[in-house]
Order: sequence, then C-alpha cells, then structure tokens
Amino acid sequence: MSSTEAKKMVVLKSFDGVTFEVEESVAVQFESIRHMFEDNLAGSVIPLSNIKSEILSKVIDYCKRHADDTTDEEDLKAFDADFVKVEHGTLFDIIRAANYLNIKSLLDLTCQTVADMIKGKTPAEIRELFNISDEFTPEEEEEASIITRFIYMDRYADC
Amino acid sequence: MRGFDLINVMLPDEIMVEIFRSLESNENREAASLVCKRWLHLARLSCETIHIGFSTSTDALVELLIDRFVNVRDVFIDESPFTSLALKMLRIQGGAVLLNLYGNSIDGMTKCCLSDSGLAAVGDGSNYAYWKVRTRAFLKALDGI
Repeated sequence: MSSTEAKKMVVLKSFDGVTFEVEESVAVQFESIRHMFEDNLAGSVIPLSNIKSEILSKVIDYCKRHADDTTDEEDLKAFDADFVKVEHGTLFDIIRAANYLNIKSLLDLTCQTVADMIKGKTPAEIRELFNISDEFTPEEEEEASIITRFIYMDRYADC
Repeated sequence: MRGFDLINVMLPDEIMVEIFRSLESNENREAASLVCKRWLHLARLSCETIHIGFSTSTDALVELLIDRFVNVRDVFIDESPFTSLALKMLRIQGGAVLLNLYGNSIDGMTKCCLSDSGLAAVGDGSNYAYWKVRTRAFLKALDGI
C-alpha cells in the first residue's frame, strides 16, 4: 500500500442512465448499498434504478460534504440549511432517495425540514402549502377533531 | 409544480410518520392530523402514548387500542393491578411499556382517564356513533375540571 495509490472509487448509475464516480469513503454513507461495493466488485457499476441523476447528484454532494472531516460544524450547518432550500418536489425526491439509500443524517435533515414547514400552521394553511384538497366533509371534520383530541389529550390534561 | 398534492403522492407512510414525530409538539401534530384523511390515519400510526383508566376489561381494551394505534409504546394506566397486562403489552409491542400506578401518576394523569364504556367504544371502530357520544361526554367532563 503506497500513499500514492489511487483512492478506491465506486460507480453509481442513476435511473436515467447517468453514471457518477464516487470515492468509496463518500459512498460508505449509502448504508443500503454498502455491501455491494464492499464485496469488492471492483469497477462494476451499481444501478440505482429509482433515483434520477438530478437527485443523485445532490445526494452525492451532500455526502461528500459530510464525509469531509476538514469542514467545520458551522459551515456544515450553513451547507445543510442551503441544501434543503429547494422546491417541494425536489425535497420529496431527496427524502425518497435518502430513505432508499438509508442515509440517516440526510433523512433526518429533510424530514425535519418538512416538519418545520408544517409547524405553527393551521390545517387550512398546511393544505394550502402542499396543495392538499380537503377530503373531510364537515361532519367528518368534527369526528376527526374528536379523534384527534383523544390522541393528543396530553395537551388538554395540562389545562 | 404548483397545483399538485406532491407530498401525499410522493411520500410513503413510514416517512410521513417520521415527519409527524419531528413535529415536536402535540399542538402541531393536532393541526397536521386534521389536514386530510390520510394524515389523520398517520396521526394514529405515529401516536406513541395513550392514557387509559384501569377496569376489569382493560386487557381487552388495550388490545383493541393497539390494533388502532400500532406504534404505541407507552400506555398509562391509572390503577393497579396491572401485572398480567404489562406482560401482555411487552409481548405485543416488544417495546418499552410504561405503566403508571395510581398515586404515582404524572401530573394531571388522574384527570384524563376515559370512562370504561367510552374506552370500549373507542376500541370498537364499528361503534362509531356510540364512541362519539361517549367521547363528547368525556370531553365535556374534562372541560369542567
């Protein structure tokens, strides 16, 4: 083993056929496919048939940044904050990719982002934000609010 | 991409449950659960704590509740005896079950117990109207405390 030895690379192929060459030290964050390149199938391409190249590229960027020990924590926080400033569709695609690849920190970050969008809003505001059509009839809504009060009655117990 | 309900089309239940858990306060969860039918169902899925009153039918009741709130980890029961129930719960859920003894309860616990019949109705989804009436009565009583 010489120090000049080239870094081990992993080749990933997106759903739309784009290949990405990623250092193994970055790709180890992809928990669910880790065994595929750790089994040392050198040079083989790992197909990710349900991730678009646009999304895979973002996910790889995220993992590269998080694999880099030299980045300080503040910079990483700023990077994360910027990373999730995307359209809803893109954010949901990233969540699905993080879920599929089992990248816990990315999944936590993106789920928290969606949760933060929901926080402090009324049901109507949430429906508007995500274009959710109201499926409740007035009677169902009343019943739903009774169920909900039961589920979250801790809140009422505090009163 | 405006105009499409992307969140419900794209995100599977397990992710939505994760998001519900990240909401931090029950006030936020309550608002989210009233967004649409799916989210109400998800609120049930992500519900981890239930408070109930002890009765002779508690065992059966807890089983019914577990069916309806599959991710429940903590059940607070306000009276003893409860040992057989605790064992049963642990077997069903495989997780931590916190049983709260009467007199050793968290603040407000004794105030927020449903009546036996109300609880039985909650467990039985087919008996919806009955449940509604009982729950209303319960909530009314709660407001009076």
